[in-house]
Amino acid sequence: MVLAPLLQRAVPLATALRHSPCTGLVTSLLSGVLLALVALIVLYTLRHYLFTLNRLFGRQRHPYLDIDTADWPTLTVLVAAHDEEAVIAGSLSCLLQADYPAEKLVLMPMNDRSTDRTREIIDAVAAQNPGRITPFHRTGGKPGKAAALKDAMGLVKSELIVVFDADYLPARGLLKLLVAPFFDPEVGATMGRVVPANVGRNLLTRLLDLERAGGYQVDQQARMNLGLVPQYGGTVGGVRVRALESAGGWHEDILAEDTDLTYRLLLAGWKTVYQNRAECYEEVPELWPARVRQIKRWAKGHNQAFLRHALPIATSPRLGPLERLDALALLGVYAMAPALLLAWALTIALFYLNGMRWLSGTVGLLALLSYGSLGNFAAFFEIAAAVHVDGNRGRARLLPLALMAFLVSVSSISRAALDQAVDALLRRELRWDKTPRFRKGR
Amino acid sequence: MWAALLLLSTALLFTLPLAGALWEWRRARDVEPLPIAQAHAGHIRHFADQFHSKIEEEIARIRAMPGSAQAQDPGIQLVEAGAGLEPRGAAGEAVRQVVIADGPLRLRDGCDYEREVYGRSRVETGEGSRLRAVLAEGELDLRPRTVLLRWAHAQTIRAGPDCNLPGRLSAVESISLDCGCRFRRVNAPAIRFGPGSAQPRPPPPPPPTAHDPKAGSPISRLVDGRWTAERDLELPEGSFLMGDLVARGDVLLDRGAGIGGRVKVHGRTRLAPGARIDGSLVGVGPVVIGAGCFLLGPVVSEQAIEIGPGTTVGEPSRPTTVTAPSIRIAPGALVHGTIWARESAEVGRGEAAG
Repeated sequence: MVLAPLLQRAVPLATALRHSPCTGLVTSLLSGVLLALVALIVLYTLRHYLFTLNRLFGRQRHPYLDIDTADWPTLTVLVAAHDEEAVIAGSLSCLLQADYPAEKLVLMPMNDRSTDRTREIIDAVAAQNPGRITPFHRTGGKPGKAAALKDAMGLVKSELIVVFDADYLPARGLLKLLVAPFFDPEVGATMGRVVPANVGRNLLTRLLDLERAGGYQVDQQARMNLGLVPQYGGTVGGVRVRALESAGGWHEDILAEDTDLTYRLLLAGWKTVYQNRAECYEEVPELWPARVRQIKRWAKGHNQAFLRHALPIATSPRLGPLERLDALALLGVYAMAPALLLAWALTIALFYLNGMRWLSGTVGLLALLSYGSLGNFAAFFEIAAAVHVDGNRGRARLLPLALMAFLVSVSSISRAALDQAVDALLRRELRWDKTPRFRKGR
Repeated sequence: MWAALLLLSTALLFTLPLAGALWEWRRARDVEPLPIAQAHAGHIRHFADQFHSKIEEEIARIRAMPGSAQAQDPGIQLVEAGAGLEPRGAAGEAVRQVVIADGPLRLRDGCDYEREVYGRSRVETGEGSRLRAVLAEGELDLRPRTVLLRWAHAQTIRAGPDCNLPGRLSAVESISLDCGCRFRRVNAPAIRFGPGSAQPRPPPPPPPTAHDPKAGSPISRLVDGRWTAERDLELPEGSFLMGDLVARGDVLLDRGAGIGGRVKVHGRTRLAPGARIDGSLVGVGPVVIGAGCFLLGPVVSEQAIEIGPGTTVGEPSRPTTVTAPSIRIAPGALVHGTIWARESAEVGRGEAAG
């Protein structure tokens, strides 16, 4: 009833537009933009398939996995903690059991301006384990993990650092797995696999578990296999201090310090290595609003990194063609959500402007059908392959519901991009949102 | 009526593909996190340690029993000290019990020991026997052509010619593997190869002056202290490059040449006799190490490693790892630490590497 008058006006308007002299120009322009977006989407689709097929059937690279005896380098483990009273004791307790020479290891919880009992708990654990823990209590300064890491580096005397978030529960053998690749002088950072511990809490945690499996078991491992650009993820990862310094240290003005560092290391000639067997439990968000805030923060940070590093990566003489292409694709991954929405909007607009004639031929129709039957499911294929490799086949049945999580992500990431554009116009500083913890404290 | 049917069939059409997902969501059958061994650090001795604590309990239990142990527990065959050194079973027979010896133990030739064997002191296997796992508190002597399937741990281990050892092998003091032995993972403070007994020797001191690459050399220096070589590199005889090196092409260290840092080579790596690397060596391509070389850090290849006679890897005070899918080691080499081949490692029969 409400739509009828609108339609009555819209149809003549569309007809008038179709016959307007400038419509042809506009249609061609919009078609060009749409074609470019389609090309990008197809590129990402091919990337998903390449990674998945490589993970399923290609040669798997784990060159550093079997280094189990060595003169291990000095190491500082930094545990980022901002109001983490519920989880910090668990994380430190796991790290105290770590299989690493005690004389080469410093455990440094970074209490970043906490207002809860985090400081008290850290000090109590340190007092119970004399000489094992060197707390760093930060009482002021810029908020955010990168700012805290930057301040903590002043106290680091070791050759390497490994960073954990406070909700992580490192296994005994994890540190050596993360450190072993540093015997390769080309390696600047290492990254382990993050595994959700609270999978069974609700549908969201189960969907996030699927997403993490796809991201690590397939995406990161395939990049490792193909010699591309595995990503340092900011936690369950190690960094060579010399490489960090040569790449300019931690930058506190960026929300995704991990992505930023991956690219600065790459540009400075250092590689990031993914160790798929270096697995560590984490806690994923159990509430949708927390998830939306988390992914918005990641998207903004990633887009910041895109703006900073896309051009240097595109022109760096140090990178081979495939490494460069993968690095750019990884940088642009969060820009694809708004691009997808824009492509959908353009398709509808061009349909009414009669600008979709290029699709009417057999080739266009076949392309559309092919994409409909293969392209749309590329990301889900990746997840299904990850679940298959992990041997958790039952949870693969949830895949159709992952579409829901995908739509939430697309909308959240697109909103983040819009907010970011407005922030840039109004010269507003980006805000760092902490992901809440759901585990009960001990 | 028709409208309702249409609605119903449309709803069915939409929900039918989701039926499996909705079922799994509501039933929640696969909700356990991916298993991670939180307490297991992957040590080579893991299974031996587990078995040791189990066997201690078992021996205490057997000793507490009145009468014959065999009569009490058919799963265990107890060989008492001084009561003959062989467990029951004829050659070629399968022994399906855990064999526990309170003293030295000598196993029959050609037998198949399907469960663990434990010896309070020395254990000697029979020629061509096949074992699942062995724990010896003293020396373990694996006679020629012994097959070890899962693991073995002892104070010292000596494996005769042509043993097949796909299981993990670890010793508190040393392991000697004779010619033709095939293995995958071994760990000991000293691992020797061939019939002789290579003795540890310290690496010679590095030359007083470091090599300074000349103009036109493929080596260029980076600001962060690493050398890089964008094409093939040959380090001249007797020269010593101080610092880390990343080489994109092949690398050849001529006779007596050395590098005082960690090395990454994207192509092939070849060390001529007497060459040395004071840090790690990571090769994307194959690594061939000639006779009498010294390598003090981990040696890694994504393809294969060949180690020549008289070469020493690691030091007694700084044990290290040699790892590649395929490893071949000449008699007379000495490794302090771990050798781990994903596919297979083999002791050669005297031919020199390189």
